[in-house]
Amino acid sequence: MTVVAISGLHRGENPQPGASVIASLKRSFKDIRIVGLSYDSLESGIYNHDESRPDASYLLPFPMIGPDALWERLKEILDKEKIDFMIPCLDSEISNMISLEPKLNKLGIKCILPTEKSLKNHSKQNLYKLCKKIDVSAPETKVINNAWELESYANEATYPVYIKGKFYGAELVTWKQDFIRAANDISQLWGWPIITQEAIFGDEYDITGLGDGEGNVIQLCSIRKMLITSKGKAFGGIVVEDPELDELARRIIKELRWNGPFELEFIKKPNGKPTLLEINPRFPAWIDFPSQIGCNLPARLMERFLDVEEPTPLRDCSAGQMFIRHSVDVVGDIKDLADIARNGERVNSPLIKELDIA
Amino acid sequence: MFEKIAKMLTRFINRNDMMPTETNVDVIKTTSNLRFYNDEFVFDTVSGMFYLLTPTAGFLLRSLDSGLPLNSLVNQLQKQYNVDKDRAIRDVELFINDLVSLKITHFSDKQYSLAGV
Repeated sequence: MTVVAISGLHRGENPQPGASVIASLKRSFKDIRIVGLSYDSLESGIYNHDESRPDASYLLPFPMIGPDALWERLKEILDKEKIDFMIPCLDSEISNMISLEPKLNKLGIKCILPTEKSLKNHSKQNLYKLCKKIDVSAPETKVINNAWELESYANEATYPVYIKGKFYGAELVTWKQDFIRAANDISQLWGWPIITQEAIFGDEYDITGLGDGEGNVIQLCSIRKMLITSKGKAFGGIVVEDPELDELARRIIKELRWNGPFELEFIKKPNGKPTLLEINPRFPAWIDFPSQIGCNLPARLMERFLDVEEPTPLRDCSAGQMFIRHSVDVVGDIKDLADIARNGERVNSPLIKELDIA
Repeated sequence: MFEKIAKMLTRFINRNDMMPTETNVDVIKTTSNLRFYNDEFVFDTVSGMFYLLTPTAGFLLRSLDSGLPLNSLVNQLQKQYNVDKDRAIRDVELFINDLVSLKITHFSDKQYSLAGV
């Protein structure tokens, strides 16, 4: 049995990709055990009963605490679970995972991650520079490193402007007082620097895919966001076949020599020109949509882990196929919450060795 | 949260007839990525946009998509909906303006014109 550890289990208003990745893997691999890695005992995926249910879930220290704390916690988890592969599904985790990769590899745990250089170049702070180099349209970006710079930039900014945290959080502000308030809110939550980004309005497009680390794209799936939540997340999407978007995606991934999953977020201005807003270093929360139509990218990632010589062919996602997210109520008992809150773990499916002992 | 589905023109009813006149005008090209669902729904496979159409708008868009020259389109509109020529020209122009603003139509090299039709 192959054991895969996957994070990002929450499927709330701002859904994380983990549950979709689990569902995709379970669709293709029957002999698989999923270890869920969570940061909060209220992550909905811990209590789920459908195909995206992890076999066991463990709490981790928050990524901002750093790789050492993560390593100590992983060692505790590894006393109970034999993990073969790890698929981090949150932006803020990737840097810690890159730091720990050599140690994990020594224990026989594989990860497919971008290099530190790729990660640095893709970041919101460096995105404008990257795009300028490869002639991809991107919003003008300014990095604000501290409260001193904030005050002076607030006077110069052209409004409206987006204020973004280095990993998460974005707010559109229209005047100076809002700017300072929003910047302080985001910096308190996610730390410095904060990023200001020229506000661009238009139709939003997302592209997910896998990079092979050599500059090639293994497969792409492009959607137009059809329904968008108040947090800007795709709640419904429709596949598009846009050669221009595909070419831009391939150019970006080639430049970054990206290894592993990615999501590119574009916006098309009224003149139709696509502008790159963000690159996310992980699968998107809607990754189970292409999986359900024959383009199972998490399964392809798994085949890379397993060194499968002839991987399962991936179908092209054809224009017009669409998804609409459907929220459901996951039922649990306070005992379940107490379990994970007290012990930092919850086991839905005990390992066979435990059953044998019993 | 839910975006509106754009509705297209409904101007093509109860018009007086006039004999069509053939002249040379440019062919308007649609994005050529249009997928029709009967005459009342169209999906653009590149932009991902979709529109609910009136049957008349569907008829005109299908005709343009198949490469019908503008003058022929005016003639067809006159025949099909029994409208006079001036009205047909005006309605086709307005319809095309809508298509352009929705980015459903593009011009390969030069601006279209119905002058002289």
